Amino acid sequence: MFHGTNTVLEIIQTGLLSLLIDAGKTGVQHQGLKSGGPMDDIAFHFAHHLLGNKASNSTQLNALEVMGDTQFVVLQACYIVIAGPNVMVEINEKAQPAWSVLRCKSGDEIRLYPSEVNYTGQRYYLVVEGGFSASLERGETYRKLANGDSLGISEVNEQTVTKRDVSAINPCPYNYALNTPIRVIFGYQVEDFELVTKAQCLSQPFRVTSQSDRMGYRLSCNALPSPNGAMFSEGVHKGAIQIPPNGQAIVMLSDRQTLGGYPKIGAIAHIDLPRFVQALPGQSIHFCETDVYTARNAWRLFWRRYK
Amino acid sequence: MNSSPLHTQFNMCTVGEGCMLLYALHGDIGNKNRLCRQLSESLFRLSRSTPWLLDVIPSYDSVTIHFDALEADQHDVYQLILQINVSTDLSNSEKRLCLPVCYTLPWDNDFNEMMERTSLSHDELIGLHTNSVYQVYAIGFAPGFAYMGFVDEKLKLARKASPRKRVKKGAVAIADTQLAIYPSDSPGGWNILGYCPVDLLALNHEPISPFSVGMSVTFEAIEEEQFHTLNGVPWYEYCA
Repeated sequence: MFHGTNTVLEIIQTGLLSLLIDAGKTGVQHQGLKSGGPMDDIAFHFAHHLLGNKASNSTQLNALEVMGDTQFVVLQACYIVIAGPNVMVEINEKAQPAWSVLRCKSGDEIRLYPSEVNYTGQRYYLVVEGGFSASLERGETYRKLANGDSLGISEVNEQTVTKRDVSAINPCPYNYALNTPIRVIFGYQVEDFELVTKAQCLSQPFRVTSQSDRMGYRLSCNALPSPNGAMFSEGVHKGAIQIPPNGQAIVMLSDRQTLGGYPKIGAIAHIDLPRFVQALPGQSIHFCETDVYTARNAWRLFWRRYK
Repeated sequence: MNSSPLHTQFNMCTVGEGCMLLYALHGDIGNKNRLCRQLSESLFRLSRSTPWLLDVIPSYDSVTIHFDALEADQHDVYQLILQINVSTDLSNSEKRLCLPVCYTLPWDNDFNEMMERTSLSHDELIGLHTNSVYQVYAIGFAPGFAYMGFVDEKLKLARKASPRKRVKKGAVAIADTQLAIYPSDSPGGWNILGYCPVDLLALNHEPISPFSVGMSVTFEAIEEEQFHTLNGVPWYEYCA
């Protein structure tokens, strides 16, 4: 594996936030290190799939996770994919498709921004063939980028890249709409909650508040009574729904702490996490119940088409 | 130690497509925690040959298992746990860590306030802290932050009403019945008893800290002069 340091991209405009992220760390949480990883697993992994990027022992898949109106200039020829709900893509002011492999040459100006007509979602992913050469330090789940920062590209080889199809224009593979409920697997301490609390979870809207970030999304709702009595802290997985004493749900996401001591009523199914994390502050969602088998089947069926 | 098969000593709960929680069933919290250590140590070893096993997080009375939902399900996890041979384990968990603490450093601390709140003398307070053997119950909150328990009933102290914006790395502190050493500077509301000069976090070292769940920790009092001699020594050199 090579670690080329050829610069491939310079950031002209970071938009609201531009982060270098990776696929997330495994085997580290018992030391208190966060896993991190993309907020939207489908956009991130689908982009890598299109480019044929594969993780190897020495490399992690990575991407830029950006919010708002962002601009880049290309410093050397490369293949990229931009993915995200209704993301608008321009290269040298000409519209280009998202969710498709784009060939860029040195000097090209890339812009990605939210659609004004169909504004859904907030996090977009820019992935380059072979991956960026920069890697995150231990204990880092993202690196915030500033205007003028540039990124290197890993040297592309057969170990890390298998295939690409430049000609195909793909439709978005996933429905980000929030007009159907978000599926929840009830579990964790659900038995400790009053019976009616689960019904309250399924019958009221939850509004995404502005106190929502990579650690977790705070939702606003009619207060859900949290069980009395202390519990021991335990591991928490991405999508877990915590109910602290104030009764306002918090959904734990990529940069959550490894342990949590608040009761959890369940967890959002993987298949619905991308549309949940793409919900904007102020938007409302509903929950419905699923079971772990159905949820796993949905997740496997989605990826079966691509892996 | 209970010698019945390990899987019968846990209640297994599926909490997600790729996540299971196992709660230890028997004994007091100390024993449950040792069971959790035993299970997680075995799983760490198995993870080298089990690529779908992504993360194993032992805590007070539970072990959280993260696995790749595209490659495995809860039945695979169950089969993996059935393979574990109980009798082979726990030998290395008896490893004990002894850490130096300076109680007299003129740095920000709550020692005097703690003497007042507990009605203990200077020496009694240090004596009660250094005479106990603590167990690491969980690691979390921050990288390498070990929750140790339990302090003597007389040392039990509620968190400070207003947390400090910055607690210095090395602070040895108490909250309720728990004890911890801040591995790096961070905000915190625990009552600071003293400072440990050993650098307990090395992000570029594997593992990053000397702590693991279930292990025993003791403390010994040192003078200011010794503190300055030892200050900043990495844990892997100190513990070598």
